[in-house]
Amino acid sequence: MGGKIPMEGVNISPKMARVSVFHPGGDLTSGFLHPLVQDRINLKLLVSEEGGEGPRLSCCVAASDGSRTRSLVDSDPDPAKQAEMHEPAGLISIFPLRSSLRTLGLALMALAEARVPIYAFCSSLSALTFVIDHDRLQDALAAFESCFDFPGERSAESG
Amino acid sequence: MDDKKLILVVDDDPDLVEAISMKLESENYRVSKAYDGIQAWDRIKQERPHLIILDVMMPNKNGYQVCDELKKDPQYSNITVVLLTAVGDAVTSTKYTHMDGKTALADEFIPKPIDLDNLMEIVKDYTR
Repeated sequence: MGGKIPMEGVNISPKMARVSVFHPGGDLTSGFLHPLVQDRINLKLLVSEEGGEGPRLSCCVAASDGSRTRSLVDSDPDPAKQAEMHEPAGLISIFPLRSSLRTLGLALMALAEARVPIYAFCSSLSALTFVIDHDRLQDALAAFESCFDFPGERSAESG
Repeated sequence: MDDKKLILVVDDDPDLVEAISMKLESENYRVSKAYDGIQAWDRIKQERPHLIILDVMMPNKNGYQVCDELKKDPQYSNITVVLLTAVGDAVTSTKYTHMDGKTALADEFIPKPIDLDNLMEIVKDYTR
């Protein structure tokens, strides 16, 4: 087994709200995303799933935008649309991923061993980001520090 | 000796750092990266870049502070600084918007979201 993988950094988000919307037969782009844009609510992360029952979107918004997001969803008269909100959620990102499956595997194993539930994860141009409970962010960080080497001073919560 | 110019890219968003770095490398520049103001100063002292692309909104030490300190230090004041400023109405509630970017001593200001082609033109102008 090799040593720790050197990383350039880790970012931890402030409190977020995780929103999941499910709308059988509906259009979540016009029925959910457009209202968010019109209300200038920033999405920190967006996961789209297409299953046999229809599309499902999950996203994170700032905790301070949680109630506005809930109001937008609740204001839709279509009873088929279902939404769930989970608060507070948190994001932890390590970088750079460099398309490394080893990094992904180690990160997943570290979180599993620390019994940190993962609600979603994604890779982007540089980062590998996990959506977890906000109050488990420090546990996740400790778990990552067991298998990754981060620079001396970790970045504070970044928006 | 490698005569490629060294550009330091500083932003707390690793994806933006990567995007700018890839573009710079494709234009034959060397790139160094930092993700907050303290890391930026470490890189500046160790590597003495030709030009710094510096975000304003960062943890630990923001871009205005780094730029002010750099421009007041005779050892480093000749390094070109391109400051990435947030669009005012998108961040109205942050403390960063209470500082006036125009009073900072940066050589250039570029609003976010960044036009990469415009950024490259500016980098080329200052590294000729």
